[in-house]
Amino acid sequence: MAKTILVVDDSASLRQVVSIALKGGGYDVIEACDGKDALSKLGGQKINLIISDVNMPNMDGITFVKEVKQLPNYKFTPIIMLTTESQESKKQEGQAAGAKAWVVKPFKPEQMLAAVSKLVLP
Amino acid sequence: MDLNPALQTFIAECQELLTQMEESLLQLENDSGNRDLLDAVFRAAHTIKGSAGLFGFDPIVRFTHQVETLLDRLRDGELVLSSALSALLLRCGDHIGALILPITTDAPLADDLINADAALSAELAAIGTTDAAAGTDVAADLWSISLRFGPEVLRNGMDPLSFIRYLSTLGELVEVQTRYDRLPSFTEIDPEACYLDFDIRLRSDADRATIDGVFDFVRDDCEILIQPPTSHTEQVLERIAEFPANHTLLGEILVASTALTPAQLDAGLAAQQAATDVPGSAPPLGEILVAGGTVAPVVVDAALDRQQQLRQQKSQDNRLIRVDADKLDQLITLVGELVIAGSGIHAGAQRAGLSDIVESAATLARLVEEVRDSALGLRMVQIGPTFQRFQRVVRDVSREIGKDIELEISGGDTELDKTVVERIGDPLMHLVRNAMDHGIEPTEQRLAAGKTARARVGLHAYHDSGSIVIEVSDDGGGLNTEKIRLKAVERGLLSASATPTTQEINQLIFEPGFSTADAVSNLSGRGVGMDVVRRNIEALRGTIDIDSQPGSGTTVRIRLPLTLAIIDGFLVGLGAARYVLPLDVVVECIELSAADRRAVTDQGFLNIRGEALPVLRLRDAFDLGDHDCRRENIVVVRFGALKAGLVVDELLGELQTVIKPLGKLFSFLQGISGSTILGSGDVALILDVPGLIKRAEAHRSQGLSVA
Amino acid sequence: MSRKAGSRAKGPTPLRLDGDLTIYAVSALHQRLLAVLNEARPVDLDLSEVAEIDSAGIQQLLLFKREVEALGHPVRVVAHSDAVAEVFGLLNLTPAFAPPANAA
Repeated sequence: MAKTILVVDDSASLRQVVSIALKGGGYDVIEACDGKDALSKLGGQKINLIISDVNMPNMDGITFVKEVKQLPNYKFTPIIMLTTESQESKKQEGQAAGAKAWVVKPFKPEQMLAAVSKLVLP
Repeated sequence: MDLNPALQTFIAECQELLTQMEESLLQLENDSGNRDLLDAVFRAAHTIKGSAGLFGFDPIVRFTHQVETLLDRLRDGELVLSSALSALLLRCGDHIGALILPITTDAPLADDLINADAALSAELAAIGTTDAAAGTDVAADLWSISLRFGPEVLRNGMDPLSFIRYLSTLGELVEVQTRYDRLPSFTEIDPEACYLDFDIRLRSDADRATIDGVFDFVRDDCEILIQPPTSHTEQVLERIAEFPANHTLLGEILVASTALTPAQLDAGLAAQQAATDVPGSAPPLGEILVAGGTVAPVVVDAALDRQQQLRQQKSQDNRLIRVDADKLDQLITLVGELVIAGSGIHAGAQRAGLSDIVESAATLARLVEEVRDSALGLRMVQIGPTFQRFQRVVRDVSREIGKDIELEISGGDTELDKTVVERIGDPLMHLVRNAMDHGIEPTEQRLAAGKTARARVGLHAYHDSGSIVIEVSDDGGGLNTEKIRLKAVERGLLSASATPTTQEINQLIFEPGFSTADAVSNLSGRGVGMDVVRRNIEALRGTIDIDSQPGSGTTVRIRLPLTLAIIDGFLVGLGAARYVLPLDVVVECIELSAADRRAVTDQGFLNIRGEALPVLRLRDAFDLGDHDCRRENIVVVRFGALKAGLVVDELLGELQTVIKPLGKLFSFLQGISGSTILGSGDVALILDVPGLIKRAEAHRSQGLSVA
Repeated sequence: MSRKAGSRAKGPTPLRLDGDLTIYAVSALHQRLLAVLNEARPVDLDLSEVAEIDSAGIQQLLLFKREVEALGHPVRVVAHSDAVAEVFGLLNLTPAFAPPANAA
């Protein structure tokens, strides 16, 4: 059974690139455009990994991670934060909230796939 | 983002690297143990892979990676470069070239290219398995990874299992030991906390950073101990030994040699920093790293040794000082004056018959001589770097003109005056280009003549009788003497009836009138600017001549003085006038008998031990008129292959002296190359021996034609 | 999850675990194993219906086995699913949970 990954980012193009790479790597992908959208899409289905941007409208990544950590069905789900080089403080904030993995933007699709593979193999 | 300009650079770079790779591979066929060549091949493949990755040219990356892997195993000595393997690598180089071509057109890979790719990949892979099997059971080739997971990893969504699974994608998990002795009792356990440890043995070609990177996300919550395979340790030790001198921090050496990742270095430094906070001295970084099991003690020792070595080297570098060339020149001039003053004292003491002063003067002279030698040594530099520049020139030009030419260099450690080295570059460039353009025949012609397709151009330097000789040679077709003769006649450089030797004809290409573009295309090379080359060389008090064997090549020989400032001279007298001959050209001195005197006057040459020696009376040459001295002497001088006798009145012995160039006013003077002031305060003229030899030869031919 | 208890008088207690043995369910698993542990009897584990197992689940099985054996009773796995086999294989745990040779 393919592993399912939730990709949360307000950039449609980024979601698309990541989604193509992950699907190419053998994962199922669910896309969401912000924290709120993501929470609504969790449903009750099994999610093996969450990839989330930090800066997003409606609900930012940090808040989203904190919310996820409260949900019984998702609180142990590994979360990869997308940070930029300049966002060291955000990265730490994200880690404190429970997102222990990160990928620094800009990244190549292969880098994303490698980061994901370390946590969940398809 | 327009990557096109960079793309062009990439393509050019790749082609260059491929050529280099091919050259090195071909050289390896004759010199299979040459590590530098193998490294060069590896670097070429490695660089291509790296750059291709940047542009996302996956087929190139994928294929080059396989080549690189094979090369790496050759470097590790795991495989031996057989001729079959060499041939395979050459084909791989061609294939990489073929993969690069479609980039320019942006076309997808053609089917045959894909097929070729698959075939070569299979061949490469086959070499991988058959030979790898031999070394598989060597435990030393395994990565040893110990993991002690912190309690929070599971709650963070970081399952140790996933990292181990991922490791299995990097290679083969040879052994996994799950240790759970940290598990508390059933009632005490926090089921969501992690208590597991793992000891893993992994066989993998991945580098240290990759293996380390697997645990990036749990680094903070986990104790990780990674020990690379022994073979890796050997590689690390090798890299440490080769570490360049620009950095000497232990951490830098370890990171650069991949013994340590930057993150591990930071951790080590942090630990060191923490230890510093405690009063007392901080432990050395090496100790911390060894104690933490991050780096093997042997690696730290090697790095420390290298560090020590580099520091010494650095302090040696620091001992070098840059000196204004003018100051050096001034020093040399002063030493020159000192030499003269010293000979003055010596001469004066001798005249006055003060034997103890004579002795002191001799000691002084010896010391001054040493000072002079060291002062001159300061100006001497090796010609090697100048020669090395031509490697590139030859490579570029040979590609440009479509000939396969290699440059052979020898005597790069020959030293000569800095001024000379600086000014020899242009003439050499001219000669090398000429040899390549015109000396070397087209490949088909070479093959037809039974020569190797690969032509050779040589640059050689050596000392010869007080001069530096630089040769530019080629194994091309040689000069077409007959065409040169005809051209020379046509240009009025030679009378149609003259019967000069081949050597003399060849020498004509250095004549100013000879240089025309027409000459280049018609003759088998040489022509344009050869007179300019000769002028440049003569400005350095040097000479140039050419040797050519039809069908087997041409050698241009440049003869330059060791230094431009001071000479060991031989003093001769003509009446009251004093002349100096450079000592290195003097072969012997002979007293001239009455019979010899007649022969000289009548024939212009003298029979010395059965050899006809052209002779020039300096009195005649300098229009000093006759004088009735009882006897005359002959100084036999040699320059290059030529010998001549110079008739003088008196032989006055050796001396060292500083050359003072003649002013412009006297530049028309023939047979004189400079002046010097003697210890007595008298002026002596320095004789231009090559010029005089030429005159003696001319004199002899006249004499012969008269006779 | 269900448990089919055999006759208490003779033979090991069969324990059949199913579903996900992951961190999400580990507390419940822990409670169940604790109950069986308290019975202090040999256990035959049937893992053939386990859909997923992670390190948290593995830890519980290892702990359970250790504690039961400490009481002098063997624990063996009589059947496992592909998911369990994969993890046992990866972590080299198959021998630890293998049925004793004489009991085969």
